[in-house]
Amino acid sequence: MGYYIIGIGGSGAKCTEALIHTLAAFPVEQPVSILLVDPDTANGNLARTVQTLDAYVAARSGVLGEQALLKSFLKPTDPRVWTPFTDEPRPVFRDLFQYEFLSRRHPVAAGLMDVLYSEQEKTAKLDKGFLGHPSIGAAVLADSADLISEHPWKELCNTMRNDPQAKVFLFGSIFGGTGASGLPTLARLLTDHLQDRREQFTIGSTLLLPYFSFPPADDRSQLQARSEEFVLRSQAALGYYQDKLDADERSIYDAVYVLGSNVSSPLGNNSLGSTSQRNPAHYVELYAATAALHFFGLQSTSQPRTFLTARANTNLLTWDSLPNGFALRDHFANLARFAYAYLGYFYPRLREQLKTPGFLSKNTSWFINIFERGQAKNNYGEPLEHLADYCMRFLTWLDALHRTNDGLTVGYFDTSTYVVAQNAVTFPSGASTGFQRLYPIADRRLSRTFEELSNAMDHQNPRSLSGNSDFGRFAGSLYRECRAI
Amino acid sequence: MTQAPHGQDYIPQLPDIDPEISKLDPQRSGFWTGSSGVVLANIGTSLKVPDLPEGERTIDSIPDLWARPLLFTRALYDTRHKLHEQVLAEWRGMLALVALWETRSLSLEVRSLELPANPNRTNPAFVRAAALLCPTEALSEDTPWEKVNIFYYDDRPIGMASPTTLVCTAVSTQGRLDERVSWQKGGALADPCDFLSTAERGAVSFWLKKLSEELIESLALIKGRPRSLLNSLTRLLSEFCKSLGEPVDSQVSERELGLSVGLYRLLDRPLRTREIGLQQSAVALVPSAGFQPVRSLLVLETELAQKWAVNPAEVPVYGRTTLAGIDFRALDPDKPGQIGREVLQGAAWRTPELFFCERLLLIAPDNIDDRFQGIREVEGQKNLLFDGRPAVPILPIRGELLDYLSAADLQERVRLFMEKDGSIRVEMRLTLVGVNNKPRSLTIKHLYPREAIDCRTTVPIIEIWPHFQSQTWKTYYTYFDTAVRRAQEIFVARPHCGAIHNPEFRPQVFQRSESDVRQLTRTTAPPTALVCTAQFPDVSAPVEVGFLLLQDFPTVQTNDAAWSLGIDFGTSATQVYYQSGGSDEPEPLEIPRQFLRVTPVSADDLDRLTTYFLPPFVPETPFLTLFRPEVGTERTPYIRGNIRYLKPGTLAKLLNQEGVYSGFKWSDNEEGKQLLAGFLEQLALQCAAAAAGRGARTVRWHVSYPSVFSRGASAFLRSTWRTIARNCDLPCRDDELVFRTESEAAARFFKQKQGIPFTETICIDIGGGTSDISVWEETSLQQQCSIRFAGETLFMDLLKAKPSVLGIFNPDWERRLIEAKRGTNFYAEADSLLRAGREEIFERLPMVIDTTNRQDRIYRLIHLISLGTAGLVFYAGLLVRRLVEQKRWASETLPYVCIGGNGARMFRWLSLGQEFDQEAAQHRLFRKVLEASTSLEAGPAFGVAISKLPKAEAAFGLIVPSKIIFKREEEAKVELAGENFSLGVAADAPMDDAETWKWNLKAEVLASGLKAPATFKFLRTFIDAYNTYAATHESLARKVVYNDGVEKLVRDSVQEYLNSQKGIDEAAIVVEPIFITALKALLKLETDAWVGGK
Repeated sequence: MGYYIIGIGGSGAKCTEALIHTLAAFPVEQPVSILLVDPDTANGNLARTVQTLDAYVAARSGVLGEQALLKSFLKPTDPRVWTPFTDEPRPVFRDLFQYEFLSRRHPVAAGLMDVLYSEQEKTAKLDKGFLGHPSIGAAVLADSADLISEHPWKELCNTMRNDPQAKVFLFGSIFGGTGASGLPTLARLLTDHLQDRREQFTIGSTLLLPYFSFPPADDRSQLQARSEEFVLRSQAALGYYQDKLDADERSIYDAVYVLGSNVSSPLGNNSLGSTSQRNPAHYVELYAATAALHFFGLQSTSQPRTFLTARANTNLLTWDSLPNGFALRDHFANLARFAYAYLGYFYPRLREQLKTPGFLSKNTSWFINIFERGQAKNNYGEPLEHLADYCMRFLTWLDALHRTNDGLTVGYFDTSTYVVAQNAVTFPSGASTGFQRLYPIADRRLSRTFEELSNAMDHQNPRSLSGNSDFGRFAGSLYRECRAI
Repeated sequence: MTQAPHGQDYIPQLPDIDPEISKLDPQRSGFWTGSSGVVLANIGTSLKVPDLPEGERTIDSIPDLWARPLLFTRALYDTRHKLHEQVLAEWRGMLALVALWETRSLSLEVRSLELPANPNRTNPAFVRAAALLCPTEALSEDTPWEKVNIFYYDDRPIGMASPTTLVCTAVSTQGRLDERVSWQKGGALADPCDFLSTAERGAVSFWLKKLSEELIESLALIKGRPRSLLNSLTRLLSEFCKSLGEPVDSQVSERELGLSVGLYRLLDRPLRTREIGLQQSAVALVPSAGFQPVRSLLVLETELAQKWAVNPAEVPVYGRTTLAGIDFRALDPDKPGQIGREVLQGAAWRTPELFFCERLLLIAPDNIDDRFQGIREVEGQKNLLFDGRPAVPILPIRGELLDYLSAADLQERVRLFMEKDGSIRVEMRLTLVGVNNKPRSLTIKHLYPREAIDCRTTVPIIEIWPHFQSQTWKTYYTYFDTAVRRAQEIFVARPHCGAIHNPEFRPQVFQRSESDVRQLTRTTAPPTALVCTAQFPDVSAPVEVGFLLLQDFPTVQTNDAAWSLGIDFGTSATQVYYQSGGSDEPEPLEIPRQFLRVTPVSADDLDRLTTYFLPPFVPETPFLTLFRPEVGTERTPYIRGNIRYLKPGTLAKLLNQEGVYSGFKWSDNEEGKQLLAGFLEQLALQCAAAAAGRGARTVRWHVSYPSVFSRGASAFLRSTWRTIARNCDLPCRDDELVFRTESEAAARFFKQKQGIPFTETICIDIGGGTSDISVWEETSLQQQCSIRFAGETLFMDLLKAKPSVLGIFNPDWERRLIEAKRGTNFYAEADSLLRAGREEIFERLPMVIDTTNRQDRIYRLIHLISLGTAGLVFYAGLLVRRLVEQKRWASETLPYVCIGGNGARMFRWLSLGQEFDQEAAQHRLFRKVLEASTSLEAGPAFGVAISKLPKAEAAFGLIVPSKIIFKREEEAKVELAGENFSLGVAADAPMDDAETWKWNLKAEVLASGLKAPATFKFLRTFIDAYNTYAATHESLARKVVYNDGVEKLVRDSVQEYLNSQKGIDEAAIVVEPIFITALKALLKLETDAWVGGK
């Protein structure tokens, strides 16, 4: 069995990011293949997700062991991102489909294109995505996705073909461009491609409805997504999906998870794709991640099912409202406290130790026990940084998750205990206090200071620690002491 | 907000839900709750959805290549869908398009494409993608998505056939439809109910009802969702029918759109068009009364239906086309006989702008007092100013409209408005046939901005002749002359005659240089307008600038009067007399000025009229026989050339430099005949116009001719006149075309006008070229003849030989004579000079002559005149002599002698400027020579009477009332030889063996070759008589020396003439009596002696 995640477009990438962090906290048994799809390869959201995925994979390689830390096995595809425009630096729809050639040789086909697409759509440059026009994306993706011979589709499909219980899950919004077009199209292409193995796999998807907004563009004539039309567009798209569920003999999707928000988080800027499109994490994406987890555990049924969820009618968003929230809460708490402690106390010391040997050796038993007396001595620099990188990304994501500006308050963690600025996480004075407050649950174990945490690690028996490396045993030891459960 | 089972409030983790319409089951917080069924649709319909932005007609959110038809389907069938109303309108609009494409002449067609069942990389990428993503839902299995049918409008895709909705519009139809599809808003098809005519609504309702019934029949057995779709579809069709109103039984066309797949076949045949004929065309221009244009004009105006407050589809245009079916953008001005697919028979279309010229030309003459004459002014014209000066506009409307509307109608319909910024707005009201043949007006407009307005200060000469109209008159000429002005300074005009077409007469253009262009156009009706063109610096070719409307020509009421016109076509001068119905006495015809002078022209310009067209003055009568032929023209009066009239008080000079010819009466070559015909045609036309202008309905032509005319010349003259009579607008029966000899006509004058009793009378009409002699007894014409011995020989040749003789009176006259000698029109120019100076000459003659000096120049001149005229009278006496000898003359006394013709004026020289009468000393000369020639004695009643109206005699005499008609004797025509001659010129031919002087010298005799006599018996007799007279004191004559030497010279000269006639075509021979030939030779010798100072 394997899990297969396909994140499509900007929202798809962000949901994938949320899933990576969720899986970092909440281990799953099966390997999770992750493919990102976006014609706009410079998209900031996509880039962050790819970096997060890479950071996770790198960090995980340094801490492999028995402990639950970063237990999930995430397998990025190679390449990590598939774009339909490998050969076209600035693709235009009509050029992609050789409109001029069609007009000459297959004029009625060109006429069909004229019926189905406006002039604006035909001439729009697509290097920044499908610009809120999923009908464009559907055609482009249908034509360009070569599942038989193109990387990484070829490998992904081969793996799925050999997997008797593959679970494929797609992330994407249905109100935008790229995700909206990719969700049904790629799913259909996959199911058509694996038609002879249809009973071997299940396929699910989030259908993200509007949960954020951005101000209108200055030039309204420009072809691009308009947030004020999101709900309208969603309604039309939902009708389409319903028809697809009704019409086909066997629905493409076995399960559909519909998500959105009654309050839109303003993004503050209107970015037409590319690197400037780097939006903060949103709690709905975490919900989408839980949908994937739910799907992974879902039993196959003959009838496609549509899943919905709700939240308590308060302004405070708590773990109660998150599907499977209680289970996830403690795992996220473990990871968050670990990351906080690691970045706030241990990482700087170990780093200083590398710079200034002997910095920790006199009075730090856990260091002496694990590293001085370890296998690799002080050769921990690379995993130290990898783990720091991932932890920083995790805390950054977590911080963003809590910074809603839609009137809701996310009450998962007290992220005011650290500061995220300029791609760095810093801890104000009294970091230990912050550490105590990060996960605001009244529990004696959680009230430790960093020093007490360090002392507790001093008292661990090095031989009982599991891990494939000195650094892995250190991380495992720290994770154990940081656990909330 | 939903209620959780345990009572806590939960909010679905979804966008805002409208609790009023929500179909969602309550959800629990913290769980993913799954269910099957139409959850997604329920979510969609439960969402709180804002209204669509203004003008939005699509929502692009369907992740499918086929998003458009899929969205169309959902929005059409979901009445709550935000796009339902829009899509429903477009769906209805598309069905109406399919139903009405034939009746509205819409450029709709269908092209099909079948998508591959197993797409692969060999298929074009788009075809492959379309096939891969092909929808499956359809009303009928035989109508699959793979069989694509695209609707094209004017070659541009506007929609497709849909397996779920039958038709579906394209994502965008912006700019792909034209105004023929009136049911559109913002470029998208709209619900046609409010746009179609009542008839169309009934017909479309019928078509839809039929479609619905056939659909139900075709899909009777379907179940499941297709059944649901069918129900929705038929419900929508039914509602559409209701919106349109009651179906009206209509016919379905046999023409097919090309929809041959499954259910689409039900849409394949549109409503059938009722074809309309040209008579039912509501947009046909109604011509003015009496106008029957060759083809109708269909006026196509985009806003016509709006102006008439009717539906465009209710405005029939032609064939199957209504106004609604016209693609105005596709109208090609180069194809005025075609509207869309309709080829017009007997009609052409015009859009309003095609009625207007591109530029507006104003005429503001330098002298603001100069006015155009005879043009109609339209409303607003008086207010036109250009740079502060009053200006006359050339109405900037295409001349074509003159074939449809009268000048009077146009005058009423055109209005001009001067705008504050200097632009000028032109409006024109047209009357069209209208819907159901109820005529409607349409006002069309054109604004001429300042830069499209030009103003000119000079004008061409434009004259139209004659300026009257009558029931009978059908010959008009329009003369246009640039008058040596550059084309860019003036305009060019050609006449238009309203309802009358003159395809047989092409304008004749005579161009001597770029700025010297004349154009003469004949029309068969008075022009009603002048169509104008002009040249502009920025355009190479002349540009049409509109027309000037002309006022109606004054109408002449015709009466039953038949005019008799006597034409005395003389060698040097021509005279016309007429007699209208009521008068007894013929009167000289003054050729009236009958011009419409359109443009204000200067005095200098008027000279060009005299030179090239018709005189702007009333010519004196008689007038010189002068004609200026145009080179390379058609044989039509005026256009062949023009009579060169002389303005009173002016002299004919340098005529040959102007291409003027004279003396052509006697020309026997083709060129001369053309001149003769051209002269007479124009003369007759002017005479007829003068008659018609005074109400004449018919005309009788009386024509004189010299009996000496050769048979060929006579035949040509008669033929010419018959042609003239046949072509003349005033009819003349053949028997009313009367030819009389000039001698007879002159005699009639003397009988009627001067009361000569004609008991025994010799009448001699001395013209320029011939002298016509008739001999009368008891009012019976006994003999008549015509001899080429007249004014030119008797007098003009003397001046020609010695111009200095006139220098005595006026040195300038001598100079002019010398100049005239250099040209080809000596006689005409000399005649002109003498006419002008005649009275002065005769006044001074007694003072300048030295009657005592027989060598005096004037004396000798009078001697020569005396010799010639006396010889002429002597010859007339020979006619009597023969009659006496033939015992056909009863009287024993000399006949009375009447002298007429232009040459009669010479006799005043003989009487030293006084009237020549019985008291004149020279009177005895003529008695003597007559006594000598006739052997009769003068009785007490004998006398020589000179005409009181020289040159009027023949013309007058031609038309004197019939009550004094002379007894006619055809045999009276003689050519008396006057001297003996021998037949044959051989040396052994008998000489003087017969009294051959009595013979009539026929052409065939002359042609056989004759021999001059050894002795000129009668010439000697004459000289003897003359010399007897010359010997008298008061004779003013000199003795003529006639010895053997002189006689030999005379004989040689006579023989030379006789030899010249031998063997030539008899028809071409102009017989000259031998006596006259000899007399001419003698006169020549005497003249030579005078010139030589001997």
